[in-house]
Amino acid sequence: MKLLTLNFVQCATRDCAGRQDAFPLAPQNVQLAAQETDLDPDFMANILAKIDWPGLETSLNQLGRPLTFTKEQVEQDQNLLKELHSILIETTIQEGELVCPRCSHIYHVKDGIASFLLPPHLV
Amino acid sequence: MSRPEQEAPPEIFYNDSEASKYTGSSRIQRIQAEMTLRALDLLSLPPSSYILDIGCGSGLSGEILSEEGHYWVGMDISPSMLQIALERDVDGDILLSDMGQGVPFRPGSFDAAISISAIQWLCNVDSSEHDPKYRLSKFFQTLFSSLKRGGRAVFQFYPANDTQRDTILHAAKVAGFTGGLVIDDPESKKNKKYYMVLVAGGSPGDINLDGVAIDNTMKQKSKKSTESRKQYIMRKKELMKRRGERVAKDSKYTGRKRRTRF
Ligand SMILES: C[S@@+](CC[C@H](N)C(=O)[O-])C[C@H]1O[C@@H](n2cnc3c(N)ncnc32)[C@H](O)[C@@H]1O
Ligand SMILES: [Zn+2]
Repeated sequence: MKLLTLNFVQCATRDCAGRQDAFPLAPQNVQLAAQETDLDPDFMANILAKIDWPGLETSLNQLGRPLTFTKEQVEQDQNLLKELHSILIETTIQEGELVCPRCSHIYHVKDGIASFLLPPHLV
Repeated sequence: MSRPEQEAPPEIFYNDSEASKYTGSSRIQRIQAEMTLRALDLLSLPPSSYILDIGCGSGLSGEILSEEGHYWVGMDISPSMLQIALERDVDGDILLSDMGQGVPFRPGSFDAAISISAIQWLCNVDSSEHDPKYRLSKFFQTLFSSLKRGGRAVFQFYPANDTQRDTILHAAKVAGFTGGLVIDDPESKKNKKYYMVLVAGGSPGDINLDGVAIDNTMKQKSKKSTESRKQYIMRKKELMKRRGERVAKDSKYTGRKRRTRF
């Protein structure tokens, strides 16, 4: 799962669905990987408007790679945009767990695929 | 011919062997590509959009989204289909997830959603906990919220009968969507295709959906597809250009599969 996607998924359990505090899911025991892709400035502009910036800061702190710039700085600096691209689009969680900050439900990531399948009693 | 939906739950029906048979068939690849392009046509998005692909399977639909310059997140309930998507090195990000349990994204995440040949599965009752009405309503409610305001969703699907078709449309409307049904090739038993076109809030007035009527079933003829995939894409691009939309430049790569570079 790309770090980009981590900024959009939220806990899906019956009690948490739609709740703002069920975000962002906290990565735990994760293995990260990097995959090079082309930078698309149009897409980055699109995504900058959608990113939950405080959520992104939280996630990167949890991963032990704190962000070194602000959203406003990215908007003015091509190099920072490239760096953000490499964080969001090129960095993936290959293995590990994502923990809901609200109900502590654990979502597993295997082979880069996060499972959001819920047991019936949590639906 | 019996419907796959009647044979087994989706994650069982699309096991390793069915998933590889499905994905390897050049006939299926072509049909899925055509339907995805048609759905994109109905979405008429600017390039570099962020799209949710519901029931993304092995990525046959998503691949077209990538070729057309979009970015996507796919969700699917079949591990075997997703495994093949990994092997095919698709550009989209994929999640293992049951759409009947809801779309697990925060509000306003996506510019649009697409679903090719998947939502009829939501009408199945595959376990004692399954209530199709509840699952449909959970699905459409959470999808509505995950789309940006005015965002569109297009579903190509295979309803088993008129009741099923109406149940699905009704669930979408109750969740707040406006929209309707486009039927391509309505006279042809073999090629008839249903596209449900939905808009999440916003004013549907500013949208030209080529004959899509709100709360109305419209019939529409589609061009016979005797053309190659590249010709099809070129024709669609011409159409978009004439509508004054930005399209990707034509190149010798147009209509070819993209490979990720390392
Ligand atoms: C005919 S395939 C289409 C796949 C892809 N969209 C394409 O065009 O090739 C239908 C897909 O829907 C998926 N599906 C069925 N029920 C589902 C559910 N409840 N949640 C998520 N995916 C589901 C199946 O696993 C399968 O991969
Ligand atoms: Zn939770």
